[in-house]
Amino acid sequence: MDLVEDLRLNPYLNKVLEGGTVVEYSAHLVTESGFKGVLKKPYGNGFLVVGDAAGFLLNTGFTIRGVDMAVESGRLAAEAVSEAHERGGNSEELLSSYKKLLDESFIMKNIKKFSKARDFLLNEEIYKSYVNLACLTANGIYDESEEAKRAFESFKDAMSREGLSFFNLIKNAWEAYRSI
Amino acid sequence: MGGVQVNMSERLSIEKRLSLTSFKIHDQPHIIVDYEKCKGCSMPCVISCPAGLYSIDEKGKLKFNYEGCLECGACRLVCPNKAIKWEYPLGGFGVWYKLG
Repeated sequence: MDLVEDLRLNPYLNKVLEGGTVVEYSAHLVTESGFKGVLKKPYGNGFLVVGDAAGFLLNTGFTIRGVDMAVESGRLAAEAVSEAHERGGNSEELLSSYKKLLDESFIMKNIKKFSKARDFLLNEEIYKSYVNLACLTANGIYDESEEAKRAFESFKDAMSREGLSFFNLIKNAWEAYRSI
Repeated sequence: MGGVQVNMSERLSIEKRLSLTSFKIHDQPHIIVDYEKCKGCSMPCVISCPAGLYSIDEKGKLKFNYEGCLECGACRLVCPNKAIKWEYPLGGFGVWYKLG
């Protein structure tokens, strides 16, 4: 609730917005389903779909973005519409150039690049067990009880306390390398 | 276009921001909170609601008002105890976005 005002009042953005006005306050949720969530055909007779409605969102595991894609898809849609009008109509066939523009833009290039990310990021182990694993390992390393543990021992103990297998750990690391 | 002329470097209160949006309030709430389930909860709804409709009173109890709901659905998703029954208001009622 306060974030949006913080953003608007950010000195850099505020300068850009100078002379503007606030016309409406709104909020909505956006869906983020990676490449699978992107509409295969974001156009039809007389309409084009832009922004999050068409699934243009990107979760890289570290950042989630979509506003830039909403702006760019809107711009590309305008381009497609004006081209279609020049060719005399707004039929599905004439508007299909929108799809081509999207595929060539940073929108689809980025979404395709991260097409494997969604399935990997749905794995709850990476948010729960692996966080605990890091904490427990650090705990073991800095522990000063009678029997001092070597780093790998702490790691091994943490693994068994979290019920994790080495095989899974390596598998997940490989998947992370491949997807994000 | 509507809107109020505001000093762009001034922080707008949530009340002022909500006054820019149109609502047609139905007398039946479209969100029902089961306060029994809120006991011991960290109440993420309070910070998640973009309209600031959830608050905590002096006794530490959750307070909620459905009037001013922007119908984003965030509260339903963040509620760890599934205490929020959420449905869209009856057709024609609720928030009335004019600019999307």
